[in-house]
Amino acid sequence: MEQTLQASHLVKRYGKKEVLHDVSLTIEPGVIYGLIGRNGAGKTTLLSILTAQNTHDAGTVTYGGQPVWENEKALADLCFSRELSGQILFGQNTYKVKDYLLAASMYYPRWDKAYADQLVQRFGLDVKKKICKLSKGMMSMVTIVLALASRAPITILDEPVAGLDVVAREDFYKILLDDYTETGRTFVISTHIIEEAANVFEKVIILNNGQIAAVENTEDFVASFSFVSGREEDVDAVTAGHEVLHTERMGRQKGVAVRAARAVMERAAAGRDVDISPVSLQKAFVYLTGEEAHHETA
Amino acid sequence: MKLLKFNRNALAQLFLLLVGFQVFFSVLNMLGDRSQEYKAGYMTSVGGLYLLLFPLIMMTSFAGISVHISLTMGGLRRALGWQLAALNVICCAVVCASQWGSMWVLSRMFGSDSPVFLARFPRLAMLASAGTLVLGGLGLWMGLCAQRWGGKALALCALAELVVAGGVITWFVISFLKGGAAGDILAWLLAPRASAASLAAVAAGCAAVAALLHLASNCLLKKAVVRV
Repeated sequence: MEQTLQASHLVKRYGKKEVLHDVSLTIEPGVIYGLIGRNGAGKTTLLSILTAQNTHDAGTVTYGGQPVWENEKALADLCFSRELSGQILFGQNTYKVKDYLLAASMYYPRWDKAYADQLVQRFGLDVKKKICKLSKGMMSMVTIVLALASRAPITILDEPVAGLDVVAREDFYKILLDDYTETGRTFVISTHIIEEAANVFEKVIILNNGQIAAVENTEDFVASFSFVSGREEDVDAVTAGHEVLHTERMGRQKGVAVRAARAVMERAAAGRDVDISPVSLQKAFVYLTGEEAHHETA
Repeated sequence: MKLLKFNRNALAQLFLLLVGFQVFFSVLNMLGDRSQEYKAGYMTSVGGLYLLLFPLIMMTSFAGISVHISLTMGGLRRALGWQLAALNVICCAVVCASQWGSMWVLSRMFGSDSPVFLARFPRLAMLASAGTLVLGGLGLWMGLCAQRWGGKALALCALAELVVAGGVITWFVISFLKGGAAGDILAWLLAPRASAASLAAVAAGCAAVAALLHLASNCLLKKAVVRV
């Protein structure tokens, strides 16, 4: 059965630049994780280290208590479907889709060919085309087919919806949830299209500047933020003592995003004329990692 | 042998392509009004060129693709080491087989002095093996350090290929400019002796390459594991 994938105190440097700083993370079985972070936050590096495709400079990565590095049993349970690119002479891009999937069938012991064929048909992929000749969306579909048909207990997808149109994205989330319902396997999905995926993620991992900023149940995480708006003096009074993540002003009106649950803010706002609204996952992410992320206590 | 399994089509295509090249250029050569010695030298030159260049190109291509695919799909580095070594030898064998086979057929068809080429062939093949050894080693290094040093290793492979290709082509051009057949330049190196011993030496060379790469891979891998 599925086991826990665990990273402890990971450090990764490229030359003098440290891209992961003391990252510790536990991927539990049977959960859909969303990994979100800004460009260059270290998402792909972290995922490649978790799946032993990349070395690291300090720390450990274990699966079921055993190191994943050169561990045949562990690697058979891990699938990291990387984002494909259109570079002509790069790696697998010179392969036809059918050859790429054939290679996958040789490496993944649980490869489900019938499922792969079904997905290829559903996405309308031309398997005789070379990967480098595919559109960005079609390349994403290939990575999705590979990830899902691998049937790996821990399946990791790197930017699976990049380039997909909205219909295809909806289709992907549906397929993903159907698969999850059927198999209960673990998914880790990195994406920049946060809002659409928020309902799919059971837990969210936020990576910021090479450090884990949060690993929480998505609903609990989102519920821990509130947006308070109203007259400046009211808003200041209500948010006093809370961690302010973002401030915006329009004349005498003020809006403040705080790290506090809505119920807490409502209690604080008793008798004052302020609006308290929930914050979306995307907004919470922006407040935590954006340029103006200057967390202060009001 | 996963690497060989998914590279088999490419190897077969390359074999046919090289046979086609050799037959095309050799027929043109055979139809020309030149001496038998010149023709044999010409074919030796063309064959030598292929033997020196194509294994390098193939290994760059196959190693790059295979390493990437294997590692991104959970392949083991220690398995990759010996598979790359075997692929290296097979690449060389494919080129040798295509050249030697097509020349043998041509010599039968035209009744020319092609046996001179056939006689020189084993040593040419040894040269090619040495070439693939260099690139195979780089491919192996790339495999073991993929994504950490992959870009640099590929650049080195390309550089090695450029140096070899540039050197060989320059050599041939100068030879032609001097008025002699390019094959004559090789003649001092390639004594016209086709013996079972030479062929055995080629096979032993290939086996040595494979063993060396396998040993090197294990050695490097232990270091990598210790490091991680």
